[in-house]
Amino acid sequence: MPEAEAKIRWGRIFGVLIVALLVIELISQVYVYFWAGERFRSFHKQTWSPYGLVRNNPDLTLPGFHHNRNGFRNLKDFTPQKPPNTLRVIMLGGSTLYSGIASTHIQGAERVDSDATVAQFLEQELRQDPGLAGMNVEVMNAAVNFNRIVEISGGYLAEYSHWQPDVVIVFGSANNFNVSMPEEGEVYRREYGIQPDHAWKLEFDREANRKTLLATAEHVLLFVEDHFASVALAKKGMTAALDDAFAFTQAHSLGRSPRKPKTYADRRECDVYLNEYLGYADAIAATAKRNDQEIAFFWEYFLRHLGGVRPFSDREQAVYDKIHQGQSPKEIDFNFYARDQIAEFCRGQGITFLNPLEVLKTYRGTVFIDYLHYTREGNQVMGKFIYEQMKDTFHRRADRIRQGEAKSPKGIG
Amino acid sequence: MFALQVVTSRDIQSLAIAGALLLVVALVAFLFRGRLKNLMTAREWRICFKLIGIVVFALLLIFTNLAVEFPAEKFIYGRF
Repeated sequence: MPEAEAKIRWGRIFGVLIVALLVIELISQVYVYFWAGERFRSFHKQTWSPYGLVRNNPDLTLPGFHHNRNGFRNLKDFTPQKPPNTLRVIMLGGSTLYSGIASTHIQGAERVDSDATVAQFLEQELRQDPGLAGMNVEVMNAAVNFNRIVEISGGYLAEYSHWQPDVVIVFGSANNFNVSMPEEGEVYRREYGIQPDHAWKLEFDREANRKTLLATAEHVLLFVEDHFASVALAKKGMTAALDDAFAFTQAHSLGRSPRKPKTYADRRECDVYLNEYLGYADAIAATAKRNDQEIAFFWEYFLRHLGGVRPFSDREQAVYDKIHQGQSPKEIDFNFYARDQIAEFCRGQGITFLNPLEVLKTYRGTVFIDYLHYTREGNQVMGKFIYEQMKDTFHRRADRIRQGEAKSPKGIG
Repeated sequence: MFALQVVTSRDIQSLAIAGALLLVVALVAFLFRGRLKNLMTAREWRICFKLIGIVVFALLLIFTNLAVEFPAEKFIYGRF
């Protein structure tokens, strides 16, 4: 019988497809196991949260990046109720605290594992402190990449303040005060730093609020890729290839107009922005005070702002040489001005301001892994710095815990 | 603007392994092409790969739509 007239055996076709899919899934599962060192669970880095937009996905399967069941970048899990005789520190922030990395990075440097962020090194320092002997110590790394103070304050006010931390340390300044400063009118148009919607908020609207066919298809895909390693790998590969293709075509497009020279916002406009930031900081400080929690703000420096200030290691110098071109002194001035204003705010509120500039000026090892984030060594240096700056605070809180002082929030009024 | 994605040696290594796996599958399929012909007719194989193609292109359409509307440069730590 000619092939064209032969009956199509659909059962056999779908049977072959199903068997092939099962084989591919099996290979994918084995592949992920060897790649990540654990069974496949999910490639999604975040999950949605009503408090602070997103949280780290506890099921993330990625080498070096372990999230505990609370969504923290810690190896061990915690209970919201603080155990007795425990000094609890919670650290909030963005990628510097999370220890993610970005583009132009130290040659040969890899990701910083979840046992080597600033939080883990601070915990080590606290455990070695004879003044805290006999006391349980918990240091939680609740950082989420790209968290700004908008997201940090939301998460803290609604949730983390109720985890009964003794000390709260707020990182993430770099996501509020970017490497560049606002251009003229940008603050008034609400386009700088914390003012526009977070990019993931746009995705939330697309995935959760849109009722389109595409949104439905995406939902189905999200479900499938969290259950099948093969689909998750395929999506990872396809989206990366598409993004690379778009980036390539944009980089080589002919119709690019030359960049306009920047006109920066004046001091008055910058102050409007700072005031907006300080409103969120006010809310955090007030909540900490209300809940009898000590609080500190940490300032994150950009590598390209530290030329002539920090003695770069050879590896840092190589990164600096690649990225510092086009850096305006005005932008550095703005960043340092913002730092000083926040330091002033902290002084006024009786809050610790952690400024690691002196450490960066004197420490000669490799602190930066890229333009902003820290190496494992850098995290260790910062953990030690925080410990030394706040040693008295930790001791004071430990004494209160030992004395069994009531940790209940202050009364109403 | 900050960069989009980091390619580390671990990723490169995993890509190399994935590429090698694909080559192995292609080689095995070529070596056992006689048996594959017995499994389904050429027409059925074509239909089979057309179905795979439809799924792949549907996925590509979804991801391209997302890449256009939500450009990667806005998502320095990846899309959700």
